Amino acid sequence: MSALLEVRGLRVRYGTRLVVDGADLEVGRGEIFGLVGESGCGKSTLALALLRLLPDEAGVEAERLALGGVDLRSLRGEELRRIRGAGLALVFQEPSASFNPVLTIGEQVGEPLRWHRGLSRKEALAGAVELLRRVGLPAPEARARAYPHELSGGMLQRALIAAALAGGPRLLVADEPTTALDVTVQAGILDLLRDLRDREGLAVLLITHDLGVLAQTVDRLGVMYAGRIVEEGPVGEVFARPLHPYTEALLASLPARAPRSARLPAIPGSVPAPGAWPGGCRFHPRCARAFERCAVEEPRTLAPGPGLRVACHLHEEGGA
Amino acid sequence: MTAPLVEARDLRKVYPTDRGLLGRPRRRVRAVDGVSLVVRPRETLALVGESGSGKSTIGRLLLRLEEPGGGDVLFEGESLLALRGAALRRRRRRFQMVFQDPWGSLNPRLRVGAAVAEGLRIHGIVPRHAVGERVRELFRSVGLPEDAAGRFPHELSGGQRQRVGIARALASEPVFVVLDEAVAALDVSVRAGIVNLLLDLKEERGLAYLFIAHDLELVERVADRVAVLYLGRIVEEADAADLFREPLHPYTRGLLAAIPVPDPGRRQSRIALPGDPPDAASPPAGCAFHPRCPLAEARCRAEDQVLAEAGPGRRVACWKAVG
Repeated sequence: MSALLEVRGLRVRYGTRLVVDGADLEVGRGEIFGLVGESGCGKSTLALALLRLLPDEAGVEAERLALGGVDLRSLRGEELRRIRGAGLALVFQEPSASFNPVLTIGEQVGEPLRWHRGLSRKEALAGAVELLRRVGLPAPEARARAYPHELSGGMLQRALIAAALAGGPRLLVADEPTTALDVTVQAGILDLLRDLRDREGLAVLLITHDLGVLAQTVDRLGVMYAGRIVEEGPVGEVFARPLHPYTEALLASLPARAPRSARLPAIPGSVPAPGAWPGGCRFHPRCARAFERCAVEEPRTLAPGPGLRVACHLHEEGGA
Repeated sequence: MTAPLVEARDLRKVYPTDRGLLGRPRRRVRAVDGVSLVVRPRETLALVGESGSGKSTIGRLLLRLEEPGGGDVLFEGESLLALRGAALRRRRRRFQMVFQDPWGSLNPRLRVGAAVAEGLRIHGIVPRHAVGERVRELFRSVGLPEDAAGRFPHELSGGQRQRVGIARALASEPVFVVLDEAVAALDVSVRAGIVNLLLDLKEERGLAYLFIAHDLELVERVADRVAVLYLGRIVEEADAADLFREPLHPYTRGLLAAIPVPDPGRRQSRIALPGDPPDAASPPAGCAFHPRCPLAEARCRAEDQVLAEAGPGRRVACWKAVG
């Protein structure tokens, strides 16, 4: 059976500036896939491209972009609206910015029910209460009558997830859903995502910069650097035996993993911005293990083991 | 024990919110509610707690960027609140702040070298003709290339901008620096380099830090002592090693348990603390933490908890934890 989400050769450009450069990724049914990367690596752009939410001036090309076998590239109008919601739904970092302050939570969570299922206002409100219950919001009837400013950040994020579930999506795309939340509240949201997967078979594409969140939540992950996915594999494998020097350096720089007495192992230089990507392997100027070839030739993506992919010359035959 | 460098005594700050028609506040938020703490020379004290716990406000009160509603701040044994005008300015040289967002704290139309030179001139640190050389020195000491001085903030990366922020703070030769989420906005790959720089500068220059952060794993690496805040009060204070090895307050325990461990082999059952941080404008009666506390009993709902000695260098505000 093919994967739920299939992305192959995805490129996004603004004018001449590439932001995503040939990303490949697959998310299975009921799988939580993590996409990790630093600012400007293209991870959020990739998410928006999946939902066809990028502005018109963005040039999007892909060899394949499909959800459940349905080609997302050719959808227009009503078909596109249906797939957003019933196929995939998006949750952002800042829940307070996603709600209209003058409408109640119930009206907003229920709105997609009126859109997608043609329910009346009253039926939609009852549906909203049910959705709020499903995401573990205490006293859902009262919360449905409340306005956004009356809910805490954690409750709002739950309500936003409830709204995203209204259309019955098979894939939830969550872009840094806990970054703005306190660590104690974050834990509850991550639990909810795992619960929704376990109970309802919801697949999740979780975009994050936080390796701790990743380790605790996802099944498989992709590491993005300068517009490309440079490594992919099961979370346990990648954390135990990172193949790409960038992944290795990221993990080593975590305070929890670095040796206690020493300074933190830092990666020299800074994350290159789109448009300023170096030639060859984009990580080579910061890579401790770079050799001549890395500066001149872009590495191909290799499959060194089942479920593993890496784009690094070190892993090519006769690489180093 | 060495004399305190900075001392807060029963510090208080109340913000009016939700003003009524005549501008009279209807509700008051006690952002800082009776905090006493000490920072010794060359020491790093970390303040941790959830949003709204008052940690940033305490940093600003210690530097007198805001006026406290009550209590006192002593700097090298002298009350800061009694100082005015030139005397306050002279003192101000000795303490500085580094903010989370280097963007917001740098003038976009000023070359970053000029931004650092400005501090040198205001405080008259070096004679006018020596300013340029001192700026270059400062840039070297924070690991920036000398030619970076001629650039504008937008021409630098986030990590480089934060290095400029640190250079600017160092210009007045402070002994005490408040680091308010100073590395929180940086990319993971860049953060470790800035943390190392801060540790090196502390050694070389004998600095003391107030390290305000929500990243507890970083706090464990960086801090000598830690104060845990909940709703404007310190609920636990201890040497960093003791606190992370054996947290005493149930809130500290929950907070530490909620950190997502970057190890997929150790999946946590993650709801360590139920509920959300409470509204600071209407704190619960008794111990403010009791609605979320797994150990709460009748006494916790009725009785306010005060910090009590719980071993050498340890204080905790929980009668169940004191034992």
